[in-house]
Amino acid sequence: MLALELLAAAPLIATASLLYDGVDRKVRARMQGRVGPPLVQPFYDFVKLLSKDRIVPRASARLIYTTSPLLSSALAVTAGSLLLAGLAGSLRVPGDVVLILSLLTVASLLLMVGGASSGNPYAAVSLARGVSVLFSYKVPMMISVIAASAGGAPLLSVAGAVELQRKSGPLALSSVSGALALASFLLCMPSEGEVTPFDVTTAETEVVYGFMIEYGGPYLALAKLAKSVSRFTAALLASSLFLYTPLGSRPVELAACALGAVVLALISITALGTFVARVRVRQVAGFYLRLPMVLALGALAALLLGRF
Amino acid sequence: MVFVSRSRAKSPWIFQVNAASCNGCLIELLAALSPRYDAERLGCVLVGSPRHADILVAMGPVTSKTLPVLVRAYRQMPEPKVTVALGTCAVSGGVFVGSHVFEGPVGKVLPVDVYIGGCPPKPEAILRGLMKAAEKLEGVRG
Amino acid sequence: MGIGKIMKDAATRLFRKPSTIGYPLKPERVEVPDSYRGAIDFDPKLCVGCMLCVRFCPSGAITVADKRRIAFDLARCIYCGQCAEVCPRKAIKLTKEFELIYESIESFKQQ
Repeated sequence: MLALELLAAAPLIATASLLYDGVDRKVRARMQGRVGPPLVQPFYDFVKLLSKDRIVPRASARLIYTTSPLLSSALAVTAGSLLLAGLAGSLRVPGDVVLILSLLTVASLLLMVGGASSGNPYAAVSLARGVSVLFSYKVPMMISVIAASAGGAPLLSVAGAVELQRKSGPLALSSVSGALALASFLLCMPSEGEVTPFDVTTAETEVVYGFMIEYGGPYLALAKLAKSVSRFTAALLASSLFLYTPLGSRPVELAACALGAVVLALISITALGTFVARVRVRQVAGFYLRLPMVLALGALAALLLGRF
Repeated sequence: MVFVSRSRAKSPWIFQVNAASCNGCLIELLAALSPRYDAERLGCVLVGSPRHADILVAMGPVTSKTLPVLVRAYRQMPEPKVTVALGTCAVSGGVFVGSHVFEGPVGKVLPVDVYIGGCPPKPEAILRGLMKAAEKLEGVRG
Repeated sequence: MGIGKIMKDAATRLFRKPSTIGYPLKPERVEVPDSYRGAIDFDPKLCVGCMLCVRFCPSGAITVADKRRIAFDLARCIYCGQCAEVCPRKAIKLTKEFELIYESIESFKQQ
C-alpha cells in the first residue's frame, strides 16, 4: 500500500519541483526587469535534454559516470515521495526525517562523484568544493530538523511533527526552539538548492558548472532533475516541519503547506540569489559553522530546557 | 514526438566560441541576453560547456590558432546541433581575407546553418538569427 | 550600491513593467539611430564609374562585374561607410536595414 502511494507521489514531486523551477526563473527575471522564460520552460529543457545524444568521455569511469545521475535523481525523488507520504499521514516510521535528509545528502554526493569520474579536472575541483560545502551546511540543517521533530509521537517523523502542529499551531510561531530552527534551516536552503551565494560547487565562472561540465543530454536532464527535486523537497520539509497551519480539513492544510514551501523558497532561494553575489568556499564553510550552527544548537538547547 | 521537437525549438542553449573576433560581436551577443533584449524569453541560455549546448555561435575570422579549438568545441556538442556564424568576419572573413594566419571563414571549417551579417550585428538581428537557428533545431530528426 | 538599495530595486521591479522590448516575438518597430550604417543601397543610374568606392573599400567587398557595373558583397562588408563618403555623385547610401540573416553565403551578394 505504501509502495503504491510512493509510486504515485514520485511524478507529483518531480512535476512540482520542475514547476517551481519555472516560477524561480520567472520571478528572478522580473526582479531583473526582464520578461523571462515561460513557466513551463524547465519541462521544455528536460524533454529536450532527454532527447539529445548521449556522450560518455573516453577518460571517464563509465559505469559510475552513466549510472550516478539516474541513481541520484531516483534517491531525490524517493526523498520527496517519502515526505509527501509523511505529510499525507500514511508513513508513520520513527526517524523518517533523518532518512529524507540523508537521501538528499547521498543524492548530491552521488552526483558529484559521478561528475568527478568523468576525468575532467574542473569536475574534480568541484567534488572537493562540494564535499566541504556539503558537510558544513548539512550539520546545522540536520540539527534544526531534529530539534523540530523531536516532540512528535513517532519520534523524528514528519507525521509526528505534523500531528503536533495540528494541535498547537505552527511550530515556528509557537515556540522559541521552532523559530530558531526555522531560521537556521532557511539559511541552509540556498546551499541545498545550489544557488548564489553558496553555489561554489557549480560556479560557472570559476569551475564551469563543476561536476556537471561533462554531463550532456539525458545525463544532464537527470542531474538537473535531482537538483531541482532536492531544492523543492527541502522547501517542502521546512514548510511542513515548521509552518504547518491547522485549517480544519486535511486537503486545505496540504495545499497551504505547498504554498508555504513556494513562499519560503522564493524568499531564501530566489530572492537571495538575485540580491547577492557568490562567496568563496572558505567563507561558506566559515559561515555555516557560525550563525546557522549557533541557531540550530540554540534551538536544541531551548527544546531541552523547555522539556526538563 | 511533436512535443520533443517543440521542446528543442523552445530551449536552444547557446555556446559561444570567440575565434579571434575583435569582441564587438561578443559584446552584442551579451547585449542580446541583457534585460532590454532578453534572449531567455526564447529559452536561450548561455552555457559554459559545449556538452550542454544546442547552438554553437562562432564569431571572428578563424585563425590557425583558433581553428583546432573551434572544431573541438563543435565535436564535443551532442547531436542535434546547429551552428551560427555571427558577424562579417565569421561569415566571410571581412577585412582579414588574405592574412597569413586566416584559415577561412567559419563556413569553411564547420557546416554553418544560419549566417548573421553585420559588423557588429544589432542585438535585434542576433535574436532573429537565434530564432531561425531554433527553428532549424526543431526540424532536425535524431 | 548597498544591499538595501539592491533589494528595494529588485522588489519594485518585480511589480513594474519589464524593460524588455517586444521585437522578435511581436511585430514592433525597432528604433534605429539616424547615424546607423546598415545594408548598402546603390543607385546605378547615378554612378559615373569612377571606381573610387572600389579603391577605398577596406575589406574588398565592392567588385567590378563588368563595364560600369559594380557589385556589393554584404558578406564581406564591414559597414564602415567609406564608399558612401567618397562617392562624388552620392550613388551609394547606407540604409537602416540591419537584419541580414541568411542560410547561405550566396544570399549576401547584391546586384
